[in-house]
Amino acid sequence: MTTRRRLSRTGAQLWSLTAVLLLVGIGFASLSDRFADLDNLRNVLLQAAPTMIGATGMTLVLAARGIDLSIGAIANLSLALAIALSGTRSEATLVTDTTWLVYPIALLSGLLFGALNAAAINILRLTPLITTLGTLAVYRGLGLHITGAALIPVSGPILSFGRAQVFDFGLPVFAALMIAAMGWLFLAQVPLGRQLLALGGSPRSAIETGLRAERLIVLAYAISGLCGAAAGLITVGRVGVVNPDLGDGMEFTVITAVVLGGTSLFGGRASVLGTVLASLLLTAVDNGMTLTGANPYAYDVVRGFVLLVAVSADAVSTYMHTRGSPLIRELRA
Amino acid sequence: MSNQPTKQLRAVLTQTVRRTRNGTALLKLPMLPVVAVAFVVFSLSLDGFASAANLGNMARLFAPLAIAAIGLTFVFLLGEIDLSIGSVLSLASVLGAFVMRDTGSVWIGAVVMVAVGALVGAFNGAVVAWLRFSPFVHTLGVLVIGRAIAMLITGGHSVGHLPPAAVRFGRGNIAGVTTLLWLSVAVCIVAHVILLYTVTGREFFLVGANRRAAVFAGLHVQRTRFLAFLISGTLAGLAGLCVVLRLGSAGPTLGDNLLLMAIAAVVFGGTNVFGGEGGVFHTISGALAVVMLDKGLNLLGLAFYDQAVVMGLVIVFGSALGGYLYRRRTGPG
Amino acid sequence: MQKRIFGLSLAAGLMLTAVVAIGLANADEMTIGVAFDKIEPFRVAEKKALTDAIAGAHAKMVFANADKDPQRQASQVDSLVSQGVTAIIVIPWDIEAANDLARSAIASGIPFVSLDQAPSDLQSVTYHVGGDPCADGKVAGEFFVKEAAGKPFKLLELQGGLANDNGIRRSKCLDEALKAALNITIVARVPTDWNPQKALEGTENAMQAHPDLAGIYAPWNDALQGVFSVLKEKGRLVPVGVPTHIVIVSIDGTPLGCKAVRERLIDLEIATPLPEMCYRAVVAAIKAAGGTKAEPHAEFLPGIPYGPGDVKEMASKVWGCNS
Repeated sequence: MTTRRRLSRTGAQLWSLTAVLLLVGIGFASLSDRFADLDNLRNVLLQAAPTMIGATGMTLVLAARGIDLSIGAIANLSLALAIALSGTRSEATLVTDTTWLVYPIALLSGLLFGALNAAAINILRLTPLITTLGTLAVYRGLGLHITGAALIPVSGPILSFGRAQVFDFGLPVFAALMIAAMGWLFLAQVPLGRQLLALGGSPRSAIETGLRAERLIVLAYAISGLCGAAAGLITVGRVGVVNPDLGDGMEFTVITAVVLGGTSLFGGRASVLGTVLASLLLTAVDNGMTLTGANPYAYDVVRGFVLLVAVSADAVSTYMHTRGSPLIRELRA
Repeated sequence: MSNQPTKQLRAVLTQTVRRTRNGTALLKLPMLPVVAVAFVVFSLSLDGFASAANLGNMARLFAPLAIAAIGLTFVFLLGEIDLSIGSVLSLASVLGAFVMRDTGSVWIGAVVMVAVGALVGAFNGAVVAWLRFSPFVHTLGVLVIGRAIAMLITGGHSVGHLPPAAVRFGRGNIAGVTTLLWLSVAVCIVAHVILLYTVTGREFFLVGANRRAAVFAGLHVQRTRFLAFLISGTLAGLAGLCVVLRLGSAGPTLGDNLLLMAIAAVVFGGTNVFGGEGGVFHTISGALAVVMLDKGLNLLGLAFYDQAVVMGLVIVFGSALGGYLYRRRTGPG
Repeated sequence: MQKRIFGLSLAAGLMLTAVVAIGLANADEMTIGVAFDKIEPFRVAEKKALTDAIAGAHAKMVFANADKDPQRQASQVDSLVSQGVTAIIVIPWDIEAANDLARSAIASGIPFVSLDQAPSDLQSVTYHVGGDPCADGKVAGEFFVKEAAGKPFKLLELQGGLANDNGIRRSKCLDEALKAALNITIVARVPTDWNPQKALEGTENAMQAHPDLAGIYAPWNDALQGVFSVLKEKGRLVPVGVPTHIVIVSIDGTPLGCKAVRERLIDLEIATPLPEMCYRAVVAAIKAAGGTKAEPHAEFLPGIPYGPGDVKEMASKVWGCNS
């Protein structure tokens, strides 16, 4: 597997994903004339922003052959911690007022909890799956312990990030695109990013060539935790409450987006651009269902169907790519 | 060229089989110390933890989890993943329960449940093995669609009014031991024998340990992959039967918690997510640990979020302890 | 390195022991087992009301939460039975499985009271008390019909839980009440799984497709925060009476719901009589344990509708306005 082949396979996957995205777009646009509309593009981008940010962090983790199931729990705990430390609850209005401190507190605790995951992986020599499965429970439990599983309406600066507008688009859209661009640059151009990919592709040889694996792992998980907290800040900012199911199932959506985007679960191959496209696809499907007034029971049917179409498009493009070489296909699958 | 991998394969095989066949291998299960400690601690501190009623209660939780987790073990041994088991359980239980209710026969319903599981499993296996779909995205699609179909055909309602024999069977005992436990023991023995004493079974270890080498050595790589998903689906259907018999009801959300619990059981037991290492008894010890902790913490009466924190900490540190003991006994590698 | 691991693991073991040690104390007094289906803000309020009522009866409470898992709930109820509690109060998660649970508890001589969510067969339980999700949905539907007054009216329906009986009925009975009113179109039914974030996205998308949206049905109070955020952004978060106001009906009667009514942001709120419900459940459980049959066997307390117009008079009857 040369680098060239690796890149071109990702390229094929990007094309098939783009095709599916277009197909979904055309389908919904023919059903609702408000789907292909600038306002709706704004909506889709805004709603996709938290997924996109979380998924960018997750891309780095998967690139290093890890997985972070705790990302949603980190979002929950960081926000709970931030409003507990910097908020003041008013009994009269039931609203918790916040200060600007929520941002550093939430982001720093996201970073810290992510690094804690990496510490457990490094020091206790555990697999990432079991570690983050455990910390998922710990972080979610702590988050709910702090809020008492109550719904907490918030006000003040915490709302600013999620609701600010820049050039008529939500600030979170720019934040998400910027974070994704940074993720792409990091993996493609920065030595540390390439080392991360090397570590994921072949941990043993990477360590033998002198890579500081433990540091790279801390870096990947810390970024993932940070992204989780940032996604949580956007969601809370937009909805205006810290609710107990904040972040529930986020790991699922995010990992789906990353894998759908062509990043390998087994490390070494990553595509931030694919992650972005896949986040958009997942959001566009939900958006289109509401716009067309679909039966609520049909949402999941369509969601699942889109996944299957995307994965078969990918299988076809991979097949075309390895045409004439059954052995390579055998090894790839 | 082909000699080298074959040698490696033989080494892996003899090592694994010897380790597991060896009588003392049971003591080397990484989770066994945690299970033992947890049992002693809970028995001493909780009135009635070791009582027949509570053991029967735990056995009824254990049976479906163990059965589904054994199925998942086959998939994990290959380094693959099957995310669809929870929704296969839901779909199979719903379809089988309709049949059970309308025919009044527990047996026909039971056959339908297992058959639905096998059918979906065969579909997953065929698509993954021969069409080369990515197992993660494909089974994720099936996860979403399977649950959606179960939702659609039930309208979200659970299916009850099953023949009284169903619950009698599910809550009953044979020779003083919960009937469902007998069922899970039978599955466990059959799976263990298949895995270690048949040629097809041993191929799981070989293919999982080194796919590339297995291809060069001319093993039935794709057939093995197909079988893994088939077994996983079938056992998910059987687990669904256990749950339905125990509850006297089936529903579209019945399997929602299964996936994470089963993954926890398998990984907790020490089966390697990247393939090639693990076994049925590993998974059994993992499932025991999960059920015992879940039930024990529950009985303690902690707030549910505090339970989650303790459970998570035990997952992390318990696996670390298990892994440490395992490494110390078996030496490096 | 290895020593450190061992130390850490030992610490984990000790921690577990410590947790266990502070666990249970035994008592001979009356014990009521309470098994919830899940924990969310409304359930937190229900738990508090039950705790108060049980303490008022000088009984002890043993609490369990199934966290949306029917197997766990069955196991918890079985545990309560084998612990020999005086009576059991359950909010069923699976309304079919609840029947067999109730029968087996009652067969062991322990009264089984279902609260809030009715099991599919009311005959199986000792007593049931809950809200009336269908009546609430119908009241909401009739209100929309009245508000629309024969004119074309576009309505967004947020759907709570697709597999949750209360959620299904709150939606189904709204639909039935609207059936005759041909001027009302439900432009979207959005599944939310009771999550305010989904409510926000659903509202945002529906307003995108239908800027002339006239009404929103938000069948649980927590959804309101998500809905308000969207309306605020679109400049449509205006009090009842202003021409650009969107008619909103909600159900629950939590403090947040009452606040929204007092601020004139929603037109109608249907308050579930939560403290009353919990109180009756406890009384019936204790009575049944003493051998007195609960009469009537099942009670469905209809929600108390109130709006900005009559919130002052109704406040005393709505739990969320008083806490």
